[in-house]
Amino acid sequence: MKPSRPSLRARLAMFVGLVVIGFVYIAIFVWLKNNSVDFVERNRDAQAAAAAAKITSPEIDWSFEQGSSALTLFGMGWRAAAEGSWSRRKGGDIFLPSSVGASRVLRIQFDGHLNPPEREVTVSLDANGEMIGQWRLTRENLSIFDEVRLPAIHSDVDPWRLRFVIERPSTRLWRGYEPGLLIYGIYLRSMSSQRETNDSQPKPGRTAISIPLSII
Amino acid sequence: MPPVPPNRDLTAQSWTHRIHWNAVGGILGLFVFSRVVMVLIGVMTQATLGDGTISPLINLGCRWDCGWYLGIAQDGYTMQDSPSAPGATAYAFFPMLPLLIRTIASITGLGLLQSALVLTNLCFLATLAYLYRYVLLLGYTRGVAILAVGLLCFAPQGFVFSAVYTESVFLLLLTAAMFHLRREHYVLAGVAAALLSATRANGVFFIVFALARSIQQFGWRSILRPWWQAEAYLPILLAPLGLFVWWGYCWWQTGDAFAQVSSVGHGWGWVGGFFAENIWWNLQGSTESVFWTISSLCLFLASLLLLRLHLHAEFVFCLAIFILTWSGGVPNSMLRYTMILFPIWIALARHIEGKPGWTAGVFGVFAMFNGFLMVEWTLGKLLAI
Repeated sequence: MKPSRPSLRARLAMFVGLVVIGFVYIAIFVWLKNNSVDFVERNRDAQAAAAAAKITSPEIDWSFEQGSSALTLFGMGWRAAAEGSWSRRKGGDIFLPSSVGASRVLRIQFDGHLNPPEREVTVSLDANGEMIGQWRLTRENLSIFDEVRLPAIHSDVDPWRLRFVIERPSTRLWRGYEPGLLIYGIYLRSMSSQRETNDSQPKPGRTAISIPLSII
Repeated sequence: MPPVPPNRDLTAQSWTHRIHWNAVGGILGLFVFSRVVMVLIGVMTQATLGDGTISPLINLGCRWDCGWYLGIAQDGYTMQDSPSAPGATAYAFFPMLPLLIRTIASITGLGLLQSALVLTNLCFLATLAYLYRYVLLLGYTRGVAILAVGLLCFAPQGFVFSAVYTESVFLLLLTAAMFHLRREHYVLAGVAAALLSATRANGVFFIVFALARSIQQFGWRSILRPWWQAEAYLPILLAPLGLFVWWGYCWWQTGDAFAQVSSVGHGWGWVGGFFAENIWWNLQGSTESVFWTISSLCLFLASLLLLRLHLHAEFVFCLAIFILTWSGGVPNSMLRYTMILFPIWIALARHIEGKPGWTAGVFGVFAMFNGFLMVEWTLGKLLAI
C-alpha cells in the first residue's frame, strides 16, 4: 500500500528546503571554482622552480641567473612546511653590486604562485634601510612589473643592500600541500646599458650570497 | 509497443513471496557460467598466446586501472604522478571503489586484490538481481528479464564487471537508483544516486533520468509547479552530493577541487570537444579508436529501441551519457563507458524475446566479441582497456 501523500503545507516546506539546498550547491560550486588552482600545473611549476633554484634547505637561497642580464632572486617563499609550520613573515638581504645599480633604476618583476589558502601577500623592498617599494600580490595579479629607484649610495655602505620582506596574512599550513614556494622568482633588471662585471665576493659577516652577474 | 502496466507481483506480497526462486537460480547460473567461461578463456590465452606462464587466476581481474585503485586503497590519494605519464595522478579516480575495497579488506582480512574481486563480483550479482526486478517493474515478462540478465552477463567486455574496475559498483548503484525512483522510493533513490556520483563522473547524470522521469510521470506542468511533487525532486538534489564531497576532499587535499579533471587532462590528455566532430575524427584514427567508436555507435543505435518501448526517460539518460562519452577527445574505452547503460539491454531483450533466431544471433555475436576482448584483456592489449 502506498503511503498517503504529504499535505500541501508539508510539500511546500519540502520544496523550500530543496530550493535552499540547491542554492547551497551553487554557492559551494562557485566558491570552489574561485578558490581552486590546477594542482598539476602548480606542482609542475613549483618543481621546475625548485629545480632551477636548487633549493635544498628551508633557508632562503638567493641565486642569480648565470650569464643573464637579469638578476633573479629565487626562494622568496616558505620552505619550512616540511618542518610543520610556516612562518608568517620571511625576508632576506641581497647585496647589489654598485656596478649593477649604477643607473639607480631597477625593473622588478615577480613570478610564482600563491598557493591555497593564500589570497594575497605583501612584498616590501628597502634599500639600505630606506623603503623604496611595496607591492600587494594577489592570485590574479602575481606578475607585477614595476620600476624602483634606488637611493643615492652612501660611501660607507657599499654596495646597496636590498631587503625583501614577504608577509602573509596567517601562519596556517595548508594540509596536504607539499612543501613549495610561494613566490619563486623576483627578477631585477638594471636600467643601465653598461656591460660590467662586479664584485662577486660576499663581504665578511654578510649573510647574502652574491653571484657573478653580467649586465647588458 | 505500448508500455505494459506495472507487474503486480512487486507490490502487494511479502518479500519472501516476491523472491522468484527460479529467477534466482537463473541469475546465479548465468553469472557463474559467464564468469567461468571468461576465466577459462583467460587461462587458455595465457597458456597459448602469452609466454606460457599461467599467473594466479585472481590476477586476471587486475589490468590497466586496477593498479591505481589498489594503490589508492592501500595508500590513499597522493599527488605523485606516474613516471610514464606526467600529470597522471590518483586523483583521476573517484573514491567509492577504493573506499569499499579498503573497507572490505579491513573487515574480512583479505588482501586488497581479493577484496576488490569479491566486491565487484558481489556488486555485479546484486546488479543482475536489480536488473531482473527493473524489467518486471516495467511490466515485461520474466522471460525478458532473464534475457536482459543474460545479455548483460555476456555483453562484449562484460568481464570488466568482475574485474577491479568501477563498472559493477556503478551499475549496481545506477540500477538501484533508477529502480527506486520508479517505485517512488525517493530517499533510497537519492542515496544510491549520491553514492553513484562518488563512483564515476557520469554518475551525476542520473539527474537527467530523474528529471525526464518526473516530466514523464507528472507532466511538463510539474516543472512549473515543483512544490506539487516536491518529494520527487529529492533524488535530484541528493544526486550531486557524492560529487561535491569528492570535490571538497580534493580541494582540502590539493587546493584544487577539480583535481580529477586536472589530472585526466594532464595525465591522460582528456579534452572536451564537440561530440560529432570527435566521432568523425575517432573514425579516422587507429584500429582501437575505430573499434571503440563503432561499438558505442552500435549501442546508441540499440538505445533507439527504447523509444519503441516508450521508455523515454531511460532513452534521454542514455543519450546524455553517449554525448558525454563522445565529447571526450580521447576515444579510450567508449564501449566500456556505454555498456553500463542497462536500459539498452532491456530494450534488446524485449525485442528478441520469443525470436529464437534473433536471440541466438545476438548471443552468438556477444559471445564471440566478449571472448575476443577477454583475450585482449588477458594479454594487456589496449583494445580492452
